[in-house]
Amino acid sequence: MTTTIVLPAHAPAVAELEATAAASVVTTGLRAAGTATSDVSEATSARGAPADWSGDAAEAASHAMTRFGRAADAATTAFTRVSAACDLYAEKVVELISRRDRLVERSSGVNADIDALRTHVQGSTGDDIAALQAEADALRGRADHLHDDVVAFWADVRAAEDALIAAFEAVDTVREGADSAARDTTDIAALRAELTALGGDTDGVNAWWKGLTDAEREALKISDPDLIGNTNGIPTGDRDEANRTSLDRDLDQIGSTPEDERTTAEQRLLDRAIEAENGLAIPAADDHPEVDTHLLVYQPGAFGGDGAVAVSYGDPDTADNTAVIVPGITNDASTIAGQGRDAYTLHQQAIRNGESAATIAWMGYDAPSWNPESAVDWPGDGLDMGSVVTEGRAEDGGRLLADFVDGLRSTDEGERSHLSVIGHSYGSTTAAHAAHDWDIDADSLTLIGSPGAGGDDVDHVSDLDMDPGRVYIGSADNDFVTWLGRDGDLGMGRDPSQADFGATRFGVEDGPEFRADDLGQGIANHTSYFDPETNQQSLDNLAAIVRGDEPDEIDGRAQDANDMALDWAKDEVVDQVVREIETTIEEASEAYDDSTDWVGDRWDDFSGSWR
Amino acid sequence: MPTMDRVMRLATGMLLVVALATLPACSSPDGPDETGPDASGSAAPTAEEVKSEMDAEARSLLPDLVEQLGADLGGMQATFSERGGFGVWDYRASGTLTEPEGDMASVLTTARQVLTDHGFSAEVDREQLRVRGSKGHVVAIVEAALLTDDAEVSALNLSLGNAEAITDDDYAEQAPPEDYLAYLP
Repeated sequence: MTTTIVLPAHAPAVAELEATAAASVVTTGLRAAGTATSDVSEATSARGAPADWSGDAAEAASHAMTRFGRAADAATTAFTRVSAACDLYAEKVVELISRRDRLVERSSGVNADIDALRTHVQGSTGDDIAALQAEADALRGRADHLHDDVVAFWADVRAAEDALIAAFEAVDTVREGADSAARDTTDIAALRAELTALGGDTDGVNAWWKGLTDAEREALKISDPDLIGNTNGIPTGDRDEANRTSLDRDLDQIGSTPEDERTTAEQRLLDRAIEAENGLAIPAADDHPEVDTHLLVYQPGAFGGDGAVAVSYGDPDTADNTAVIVPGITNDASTIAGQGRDAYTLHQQAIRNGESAATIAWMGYDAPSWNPESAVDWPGDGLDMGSVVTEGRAEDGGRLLADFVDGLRSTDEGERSHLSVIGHSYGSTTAAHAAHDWDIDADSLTLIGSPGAGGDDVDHVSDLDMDPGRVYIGSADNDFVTWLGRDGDLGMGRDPSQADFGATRFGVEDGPEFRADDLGQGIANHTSYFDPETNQQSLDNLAAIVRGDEPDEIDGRAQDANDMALDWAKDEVVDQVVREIETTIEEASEAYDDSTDWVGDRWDDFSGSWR
Repeated sequence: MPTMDRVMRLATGMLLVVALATLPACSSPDGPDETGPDASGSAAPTAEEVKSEMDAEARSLLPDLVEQLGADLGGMQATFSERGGFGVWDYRASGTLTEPEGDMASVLTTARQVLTDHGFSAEVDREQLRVRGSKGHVVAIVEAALLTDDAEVSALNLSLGNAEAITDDDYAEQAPPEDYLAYLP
């Protein structure tokens, strides 16, 4: 007698999902368009009829402006609605992609089990029939369940697309846009006033933001992207969306102006916008598009045109470990891509322990830099040098840094992130001021290439008010900036790498010695702390600190920093003299050889003619 | 001519004394140029020279490295980037080698061997699970993407970069990215 065991059919392949998470790019574009129309609406409302018009002409112009303003309001509302719908759709797509991946995995599993059972059946005996049939039935149940889930999945895909289409269709005529605007009860001005009134209370800002409706949040991101994107306490994702809206607006508006028609200010602003875009593009260019990038600060016209920009690699709201990197002298928003490269390099090392990380290149203060517009004390060069030898900008920056970190703490979700602040060069002095003056809410403070730990009140690591053992110092002995630390009015405070300062000094490559005619090497030594090729030791130690581990400790300096500078200067003088002597000996030797030849020739001539 | 020798040596000595007496104490008008010598004693390379050297090494090394490790390279682009606003540049490319064949120890050994075969001076750092090789002005780094005690390795970070910083070179600012993935067969 033959017994038939009925096996279930293979589950069909789950079709590809056409939508991708890149749909969020459309949202950014729509939001930027909404911001542009909102700006037009506000400008029109504020302007009214030209001042020198009167009578019927003025009244007609005023009416026309009002009508135009209403139309612009309708368009703004339409953009707000579709942006919100697109945002929801993009979120849904991410979820759907994940669901599809799980379905594909389940489908592969079911099919593999069917194949295995078929093999088993072919080699079975009559005694196995009941067990095999039971196994086949169970497999059929799994296949049927999978089929139902696949059907439900595609229904959800269609529902998400229908909702998006409906949102567009609801406002695809001027009348519908106007109706929508009329129904819209969002009072932007009131919301703006509420937010502004919260000031620097980052916990308050965060609670207030979470209390808004989706529509209110979307409306604010469109009407006031500069405010929302740069207010500490607003969640990272929303700041990023608002700032990318502003970035898109600048790239589009200024970028579309012919180069020879741009003002100097516009060109500077565009340069900073392009650099911000370059900074955001680093992971994708490095074949790591999965690294989330966030534009946490975008104020390209801040600080007299130097600009303020911060780019994060990884999401600080959800990361296990977060680092804020504070750059120093010569940096402004136009160098954010280079700063971003350092932050991204550190990110890739920090996540090697399997935890998530966010590393932020924070150019959120006015570091001394080349800026022709503020070069009042160094004419012809453009470097605002006066500010380099004083701590004013570090003091101001310290407050801004502490506020920014407060914002990160307020938006942190889940388990509290381990947060490190790393200041480089003048940025280390800024970070030290944030610790001493403003009690920065960081788990560790790291000063690399530091010219001084800031202020006359900081004589010892304990004066920085950090937890004991959580101040780390990286100072290369051939980094000339680290020779500047000193007590007294001139300078930026004590050298924090001194043994009696009491901080934990970690190992870095000292870099090659250099002379005055090779200052490029000296600068390379000062800027190598994140560089895997020339300073892997420093990068490994920084990554350990970001992960919350201890770096490899070395002894603090026993020699005074200024004495190191003095020794270098003495060596330089000796070197110059030696080099002159060597050059002279060489020249004299050449002269001797030439003279010998000349005398030899003359002697030959003379002796030839004598014969 | 021993008499002539003595005369010339005397003249040279006098010239030296005069020259030393007139030396400016601390100037070097004819000193080396701004870039100075590098660690190997030769003049520091320009951005263009570094790019040319590193691209040539990548073209030769990457196909062998990918093949010997039995891994996939998703993408790798070499670009110049400036350190802050200092006018100091780096030329670097990095990418990820996925699913290499073998366990961690054998993967690191293979990577070191390939680098050595291509003339790199290479060492393995067992603690950091990293192979680091240098040749001329190029540094190559192959390391486990995850610091783990597991013998299995699912991905490796790969990077090539310049061994010394490049100073103030307009070429670096203008150079387009170089796609190293195109170097693979």
